[in-house]
Amino acid sequence: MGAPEVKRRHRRDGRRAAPRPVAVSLREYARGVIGGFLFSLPLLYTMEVWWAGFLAEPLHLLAYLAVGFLLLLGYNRYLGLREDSTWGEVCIEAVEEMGLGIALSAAALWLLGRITGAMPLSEVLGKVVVESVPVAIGVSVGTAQLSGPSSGDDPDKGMTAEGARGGWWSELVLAAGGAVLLGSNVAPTEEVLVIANELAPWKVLLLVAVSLALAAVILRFSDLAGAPAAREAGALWHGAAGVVADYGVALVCSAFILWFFGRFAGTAPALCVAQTVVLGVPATMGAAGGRLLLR
Amino acid sequence: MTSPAKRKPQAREGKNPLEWAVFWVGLALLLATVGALVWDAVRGADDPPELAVSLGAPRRTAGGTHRVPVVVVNRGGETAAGAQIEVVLLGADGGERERAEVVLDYLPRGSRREAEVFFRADPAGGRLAARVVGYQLP
Repeated sequence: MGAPEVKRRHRRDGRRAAPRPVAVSLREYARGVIGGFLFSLPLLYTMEVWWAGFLAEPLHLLAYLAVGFLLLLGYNRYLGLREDSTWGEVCIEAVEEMGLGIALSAAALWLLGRITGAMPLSEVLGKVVVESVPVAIGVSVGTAQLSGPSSGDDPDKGMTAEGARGGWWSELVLAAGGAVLLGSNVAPTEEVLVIANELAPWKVLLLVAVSLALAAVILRFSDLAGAPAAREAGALWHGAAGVVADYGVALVCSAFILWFFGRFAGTAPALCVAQTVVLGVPATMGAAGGRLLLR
Repeated sequence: MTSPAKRKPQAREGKNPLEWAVFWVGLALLLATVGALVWDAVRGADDPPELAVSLGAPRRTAGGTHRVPVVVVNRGGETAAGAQIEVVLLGADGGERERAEVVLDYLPRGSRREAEVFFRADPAGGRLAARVVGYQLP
């Protein structure tokens, strides 16, 4: 038994393998729904996120949807599915998760009275799109992460070549996924702007140092679950280089999220940077912690 | 560490009809969403907010004041924030007798919001006139 055997069977049977029992897929969807809500309920309950739905331009929304879809593809490619799954399977999976994300966020928004039949289509659409991306990422993470030991696999039989899978790219995708998941929960609130506005420059610098220190603690000294696999995943993403890379990913992600929520519009460059650094703290927690925990 | 238990076993076996159904419904939802967004983007909604105010029939409240329903519709292409609506009660001679104001937080394009303003004097004795004083472009 063990993974190699499973892999061999898969290769032999190819795509004509017998369909999985419906009960198994139902359990998987249940995990997906739980994951979707677990990671995005704070966003579904946040006013600024609803507003972003009708304040954002359609093109911004399309870009947001595209980035979300790319993250899903990356996560499924390197972590969600098996090593030898094809891009076709990865895409099918991502479409399913995106569809679930849209359906779940529409249902939740309707239940909370945030979308009604009397609203114009553009408002309903915007709100649903803004909420559906984090829900879809939550669905993906939930399906992959929340499975219990009863699913028949022995959690200890990890593949030895596991860490090498995807290597650098998989680390990047994981870090970005974690940063977006955590960052987008904080970004839409007015608080980021308030903090950035009132903070003295030396304290902004201190926040940079704190973020780097947090990343170092997470990667180096806390021995979180998943750290050994990360160590195998390539020396590049471990140690000092890993800390800097995680922080880089966190800053890029927080800048994108802030831009999407319109926090950069008509704002002085210095304040944009300060906001990015302020949001960079939770995003770094997501990037470094997520990289270890979301695998 | 990535253990097989933490993976979706999807690829190991074929998809069953339920999974295909979820896929096709998901694809339809995704394409409809993208299509609607593209259509929205192409239609080009760059024109400023255009607010139309209409007033309902005044009703006397238990407190002795008079309630006037206000309906504001944004027919423009952008969202108006903090729109200030002013309703004036004009006397028979055309002079202003009383004035009421209300601020609406957000008026997304195409949306309709309802509010109410109150007058001490009975509007039946005069004429009501409403106008938009101003709003922010968020």
